[in-house]
Amino acid sequence: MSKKRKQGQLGARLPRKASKQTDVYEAEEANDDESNLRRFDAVENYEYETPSEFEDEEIDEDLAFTAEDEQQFGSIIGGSAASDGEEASPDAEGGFEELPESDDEELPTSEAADPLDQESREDIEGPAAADHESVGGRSADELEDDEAYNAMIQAVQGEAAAATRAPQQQRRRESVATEACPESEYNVPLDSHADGEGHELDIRDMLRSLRPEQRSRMGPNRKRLEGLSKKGKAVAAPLPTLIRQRQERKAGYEDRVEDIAKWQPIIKANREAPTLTFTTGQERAAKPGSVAALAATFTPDNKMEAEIAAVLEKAGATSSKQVEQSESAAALKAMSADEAKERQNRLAKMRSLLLHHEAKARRLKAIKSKSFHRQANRAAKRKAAKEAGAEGDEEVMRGMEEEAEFRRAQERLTMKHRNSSKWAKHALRRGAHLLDSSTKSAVNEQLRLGQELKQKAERVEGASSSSDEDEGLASSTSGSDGETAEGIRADRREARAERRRKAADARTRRAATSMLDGSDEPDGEQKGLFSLPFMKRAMEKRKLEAQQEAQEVLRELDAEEGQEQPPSAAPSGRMSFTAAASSQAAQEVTDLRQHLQHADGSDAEEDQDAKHERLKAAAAEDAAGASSAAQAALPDSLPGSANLADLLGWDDETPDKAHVRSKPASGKGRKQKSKAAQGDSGATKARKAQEDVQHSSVVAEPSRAEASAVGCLSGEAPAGRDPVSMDGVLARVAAAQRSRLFPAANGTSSHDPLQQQPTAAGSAPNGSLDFIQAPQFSGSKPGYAFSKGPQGLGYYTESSQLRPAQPSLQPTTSAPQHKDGLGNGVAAQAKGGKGKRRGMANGALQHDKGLPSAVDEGGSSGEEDGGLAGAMAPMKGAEMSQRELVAQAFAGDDVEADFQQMKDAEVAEEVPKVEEPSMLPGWGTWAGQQREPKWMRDARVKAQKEKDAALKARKDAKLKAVVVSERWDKRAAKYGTPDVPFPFHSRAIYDQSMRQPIGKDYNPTSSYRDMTRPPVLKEAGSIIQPIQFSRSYAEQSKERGAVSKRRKTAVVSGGVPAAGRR
Amino acid sequence: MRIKAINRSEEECTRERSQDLQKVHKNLDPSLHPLEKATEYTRALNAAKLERIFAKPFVAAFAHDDGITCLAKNPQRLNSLIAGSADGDIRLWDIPSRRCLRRLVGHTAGVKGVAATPSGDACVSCSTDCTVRLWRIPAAGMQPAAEPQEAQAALEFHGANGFRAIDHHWQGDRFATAGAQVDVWDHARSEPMSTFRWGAESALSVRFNPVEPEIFTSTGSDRSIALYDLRSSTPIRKLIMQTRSNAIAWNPLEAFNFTVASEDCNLYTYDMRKLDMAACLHQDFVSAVMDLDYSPTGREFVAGSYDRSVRMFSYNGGHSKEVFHTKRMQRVFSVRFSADGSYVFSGSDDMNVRIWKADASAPLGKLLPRQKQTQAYNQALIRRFKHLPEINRIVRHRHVPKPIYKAGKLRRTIVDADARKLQNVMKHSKPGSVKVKPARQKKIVGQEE
Repeated sequence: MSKKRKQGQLGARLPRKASKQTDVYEAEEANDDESNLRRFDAVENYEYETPSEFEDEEIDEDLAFTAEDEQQFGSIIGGSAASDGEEASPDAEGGFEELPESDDEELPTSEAADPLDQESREDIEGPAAADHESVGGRSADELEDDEAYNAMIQAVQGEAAAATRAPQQQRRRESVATEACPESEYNVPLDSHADGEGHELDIRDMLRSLRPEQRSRMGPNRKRLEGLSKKGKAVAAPLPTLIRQRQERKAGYEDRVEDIAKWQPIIKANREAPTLTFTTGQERAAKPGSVAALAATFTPDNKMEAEIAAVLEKAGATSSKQVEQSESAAALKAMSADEAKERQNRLAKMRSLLLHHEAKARRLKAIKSKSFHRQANRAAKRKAAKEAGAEGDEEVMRGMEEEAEFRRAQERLTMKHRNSSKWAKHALRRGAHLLDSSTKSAVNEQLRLGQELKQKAERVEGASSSSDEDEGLASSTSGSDGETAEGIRADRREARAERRRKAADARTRRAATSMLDGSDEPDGEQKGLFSLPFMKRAMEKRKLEAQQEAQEVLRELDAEEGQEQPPSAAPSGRMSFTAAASSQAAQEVTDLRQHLQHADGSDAEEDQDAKHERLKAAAAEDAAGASSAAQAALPDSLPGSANLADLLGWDDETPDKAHVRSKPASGKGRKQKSKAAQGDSGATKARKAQEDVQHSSVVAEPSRAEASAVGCLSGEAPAGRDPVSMDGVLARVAAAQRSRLFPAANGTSSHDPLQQQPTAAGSAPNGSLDFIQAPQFSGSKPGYAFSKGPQGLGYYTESSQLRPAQPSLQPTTSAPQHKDGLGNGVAAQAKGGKGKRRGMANGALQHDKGLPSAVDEGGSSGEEDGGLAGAMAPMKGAEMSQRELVAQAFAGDDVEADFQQMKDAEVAEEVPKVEEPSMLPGWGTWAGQQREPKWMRDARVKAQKEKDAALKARKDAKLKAVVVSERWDKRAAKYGTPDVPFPFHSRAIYDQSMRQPIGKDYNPTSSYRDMTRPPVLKEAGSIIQPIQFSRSYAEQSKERGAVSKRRKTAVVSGGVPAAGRR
Repeated sequence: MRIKAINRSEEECTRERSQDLQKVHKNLDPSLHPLEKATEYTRALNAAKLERIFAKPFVAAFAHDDGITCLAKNPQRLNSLIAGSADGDIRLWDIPSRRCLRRLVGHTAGVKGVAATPSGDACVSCSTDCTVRLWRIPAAGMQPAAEPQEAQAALEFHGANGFRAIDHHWQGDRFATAGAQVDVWDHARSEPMSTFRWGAESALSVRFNPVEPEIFTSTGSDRSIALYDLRSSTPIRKLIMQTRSNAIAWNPLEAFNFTVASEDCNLYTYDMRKLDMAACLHQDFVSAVMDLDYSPTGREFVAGSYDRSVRMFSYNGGHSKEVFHTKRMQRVFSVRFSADGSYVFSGSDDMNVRIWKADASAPLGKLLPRQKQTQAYNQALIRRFKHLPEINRIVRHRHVPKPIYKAGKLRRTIVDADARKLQNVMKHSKPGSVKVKPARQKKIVGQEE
């Protein structure tokens, strides 16, 4: 198109002759020429070819345009020589054609991008382009056009204007040419021809053309018109339509977009709601009530209604009741006399029938069941009996008594008061808070009954038991004194002590025999740990040992009875340092002592626990009494006597008993006893042991007292703050142990540690124990064992000679601390004993704390002993701490190593197999090659590396106690996705979303409904209207979006978004 | 004989205040319900299988004498469907009784579009015979089926050219036709109220926005999508795509979102405010998409294609969630959603209007509350476990006719090859020199203001 246009322009500019020659589009016109005849003959030159001899004329610019040319083309050359050829086009075309041009410039992209559109545009612009073409073609006719135009102007302007025109134009005025278009006021070009004057046709021109008479005829209008033309200023030309339209469209679009953005919050809220609910909106309309409800509230409010109401009132039809009445009245009126009578009869019959029926019902109601009558009779009888009893009837009283007896028997049989019935047990198991009030009251009633019975029984037995207890208490508090300071204290009645001892002996005997025939065993199945086979075995073993002890005790008692003195020779037995065994033995002995002590008591029927409880206080002195005999045998170092020393192993246990027992004693402030106990255990023990070597048990008593005195003197008194706990027993027991364990050092080195310490180090006679005093315990050192020994707290060399004495099974509590460094049996034993003593007997602990070097140890052992407290109380297997038992049970197990082994095996299975080259003789090597070839070595190293890397990459590589299986599990694979599904970004979030089940079995109904609610809820068969805008809802949604409160459902009710459930 | 009836005391089950906790009648202790994930997985698997077993979407077919070219639903009557066919015949169908109520006779050439008025008692139709006719349509009565009566047009509007599509305003008495230009007519005037032209190409379809009723759109043969506003005298925006759009539909719940059915087998959802990129691209068809219609819930739409299938899409889903086809169904020219969002109608070249269930496996009858709950639970389970491989496989599996399957495969091959090529080009070009347009933008040529 533009090409054509250019040609047009060219045509306009070139001299006419040249253009005529070269213009290929002038073929039609060329036909008129003389060449027409030769048209189809050989042509020298085609018109579009320049002839070979063609020479472009060199025409001087000045010469090129003649005056005539100037006249013709003046507008182009003179007016706007540099102007575009387009402007030379007729004015009629001017307004139209610049639009496509501008369009082209404005929308280059759209045109380039859209070939089809361009095509369409070409279609639109088709006529315009044709015009351009014709501009070039018809440039020759321009002269005529100009003339015609001028003529027209002349014609319009008239003669007055003619005078002012150029003479040339005047000359040509006559020659009016016919116009292409019909001449009319509508065809007047707005723009005058650019002839140098720039004249435009305006109203003045029009007026000027009027003749004077015409002008006068116009009158005032002429002036107005003239003024208008003077004043009228040019209004800016409106924008081209296309641009204007584009602006309009843009504005319209932006306006729409801005407006429609108001929907944003609503749409967002609806999209985010988990459930979108569509309702018809009709459910919101209030439903009318029933007809009756409507009629009841009806009040006439206009004239007609009032009228109708009045008529109804008059007719007696305002209410249904009235209508009924009036109807019956009308019916009666309508009936004849016979009929009325018949009706009356019928009604009377009905009435009598009703009456009869009522009576029957009453009678039926009175009939009661058999059980009801039974109960009623019984109640009546009871009432009568009561009345009779009040009167004092003998027989009735007896009857009542009988009945009461019967009921008691029944009660004994059913044991209702114990709440032991199946029902009661069930009810109690369910928990008291779950019981309803009646059940609760029934259970309570039974409990109350049981309580009452118990009280009653106690009241009956009250006198004897209470006196017994008092006696026991008295004896326990004074017992040790009476026995230990037999000769010194005169206030103890000899006879009583004697009697008591006898009684104790008797009881011991009884206990021993019961032990021997196994009747004291706790019956019933053992539970928990004790039911395990190895535990059973251990118990069996212990029982056997205990029985042995019992035998010995019996023998001893027999001997005692024979000569009123303990036998010098202790019974023989296996030497055992097992803490458990010794403590068990001690337990048995304690029990025996208890029995001995309270043989005179009337508590034979009391159960063992209660007895134990009651007799705790007496145990210490019993133990002392028992041990006194045993101790005598110790220094003999007979194999048989070791057992007795074992027996005295109850030093683990006795002190706590002593402590517990001491409570009432200390309350009573028995200072004498405390004095005896004030000595440091170590010192006392040492002394005791020494003495025991020399003296018989008979002489032992005073020497013991002496020992205590020494203890007092040695300044240990402040250490033993709890006077009662630091018993002579304690001292003796420890001493016995020590004497047994340190046979060499016995007698010489066993002195008060604090006093003896400096000397002990130097004068350790055999040099068997290397002692380093520890200011503080800081873990065990290799080759040393930390302990509290005869020389105080510190380290002892681990001597191999002491090793055999190490207990095979140590109490767990002390085990961790002494495991590695503490090979020393002595130390361990002493430590164990001490520790326990400390833990159980507070006094002992305080005593240890009193030692400057023992603070830390005391703390640690006290701590460990806390766990042992339960175990230390009555030394029964069942009452040992679970922890201790577990430790014993698994003493030999190295769980960690086992686990590691297992883990290695499992990991090795999962780690990818790496091929390792193996040396097969004759393969991969040259004959006679000695060394492993390099490639094989490398391959091995590489394989190892790979293996290590694989092991390191495992999840459980750093987890010691965990095996994380990395095996691909086909069964588990179906419950998981290979990768995180789309809406989720992290595996963790996805897994979390899957964690909570949604079923009814796992959730309460409300959350089940929430979790299973479908995303769209709509009522079946109701039309859903398109949504309507609701400003309030939009604002709400916006606010909600800001605080991110989401609704569970978004409701669109009849097309209107409504607030749904949160 | 004693009869023990299951009863409960109202006192125990009634809360005093709404803040009170609900009484739980079962023990929800997790330790009592072990292996919950495995249990629910199995339930989900069963639900997925059952869903597939019960998926029988086809309900009925209504026969015409020529290919169905257009369908219209009645915004006021749920049981009414208007179908126009290529022989100039329009039939009014009573869906529940599966009978033709009326035959609207008058068009001398194929009917190209039909639309019901908002009041539901009239419809307008346009045809290539250069006329638009307005018909009165009766409500389906309870009377037994009779021979369909013939009815004449109540009004007739003449245009200079044949019409391609028609749609009625959602509130007023106006309707718009597409043809050589887009005209907006009033029931009371024989000449169009306003005429919109933008370029010389003819318009193919026209659709009013149900939410903002003054806004409507048309698609043109110059591959354009034009936006109009009745309040302004000119179109307001034109979007030009690489391929022609055959139909357009507005989301009835989201004022500014509309979806176009493109000749390039895809559907594009646009936000009216952001036309430089489609909001969502919906694919799966293997031939030109001919028509689409939104569910009144705005959460899904149905589209029919020249590949003889009807597909359901989620409003934001990239792939179809359901595909309907039958052995005898030919090119689908028109689809519509029922006004309650439960059924889908498709009109195809094989002279049949078909009715499908929108939810293929949903039971048709009225459900008891327990059944509803079970359904909801099953659906929830499927939704929850849909990512797991086995369930995903079952839920997604659809059987399609062999030609569609093959064409789909071919398309995938081509798409993959293109992607591969692009990757290769990128690999061998200066980094950043290859600009990759997202699929949602790829087919957009530009906007015209």
